[in-house]
Amino acid sequence: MLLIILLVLLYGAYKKVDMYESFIVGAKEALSLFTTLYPTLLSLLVLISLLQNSGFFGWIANLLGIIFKHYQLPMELIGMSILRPISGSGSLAFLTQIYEIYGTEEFIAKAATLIQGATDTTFYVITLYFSSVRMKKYGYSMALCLFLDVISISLAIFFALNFF
Amino acid sequence: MNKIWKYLMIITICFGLFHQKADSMMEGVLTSPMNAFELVLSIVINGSLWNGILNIAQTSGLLESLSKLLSPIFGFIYKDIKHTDNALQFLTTNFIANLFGLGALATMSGLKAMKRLDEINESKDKPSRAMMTLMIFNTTGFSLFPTTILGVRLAYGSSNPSDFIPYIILIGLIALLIGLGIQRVIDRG
Repeated sequence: MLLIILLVLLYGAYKKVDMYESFIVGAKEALSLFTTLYPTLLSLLVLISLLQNSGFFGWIANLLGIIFKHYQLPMELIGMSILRPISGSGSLAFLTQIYEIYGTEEFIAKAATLIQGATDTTFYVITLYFSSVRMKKYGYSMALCLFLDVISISLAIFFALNFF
Repeated sequence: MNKIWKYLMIITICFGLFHQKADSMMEGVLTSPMNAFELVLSIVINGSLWNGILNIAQTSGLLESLSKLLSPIFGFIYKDIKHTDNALQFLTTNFIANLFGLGALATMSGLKAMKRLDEINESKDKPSRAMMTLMIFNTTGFSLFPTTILGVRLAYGSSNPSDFIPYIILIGLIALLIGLGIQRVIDRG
């Protein structure tokens, strides 16, 4: 990280840029994002907290558990898969719980690791980026990216079963 | 998002009340503003440092040379954007920062790319194709150095804490390519 900063500074010095001024302008520009981002992320967090605390997520996880019962998919992985696109810190906490119960080398732990590592917090990312430019319509991006999450999670479980 | 939010809020509250979860819901609602504050604060505060550095890299022309280096790839993926446009510089930085696990830099350069894409977007209320591509890049995000998971695995005594990395790179790449492929098909049809 420091090497990257050093590289930028050396290149800037070589090109004789007013680096101090550039830094201040850039830092200030980031600060001005606060009021744009806060309201949208607040609305998202309130919704997520309600979904978790009302037991709605648990209910959906149970429902999916019944559907996937045939495939003997552990409940933990279903919970993890639902939580991952919605809350990054939530799914990380879930992952550590899984490590605590099963250790790091069991199938469940391996699959959960791949789910956490291979996908991102889709809802949060899309909301963040579009709200930063005050775009209200997301086009097909939400549907497409959630579909890609489904693919990634399936691949994660597949790899955990067969290779990893 | 407008409609989804509205209906999900109403449905969830009714669901929770029906299942006698009023107390825990109330607690969650009351802690959300502070959680959102801390989240945005961490984006903005860590972002200011990186945006300062980023700004130096931009004025010195470092970003431009970087994006020129990768322009055969990114020029192909983001066909709509002119090769000389600023947006390409931030899109390249965003990708590289994600790859190296520099979250704050990735977010900041991603948001700057988004801002530039918004400026050159022809219709103001509909997201452009490039914006959606950026979303695919950032939601299938994989990293060469997933430091957080590595740390947790180490803490739980994993004998080989980094053995999962090749798999997440592979999964991320597959999802990314499928996403870009689907987007090509949608936009043609």
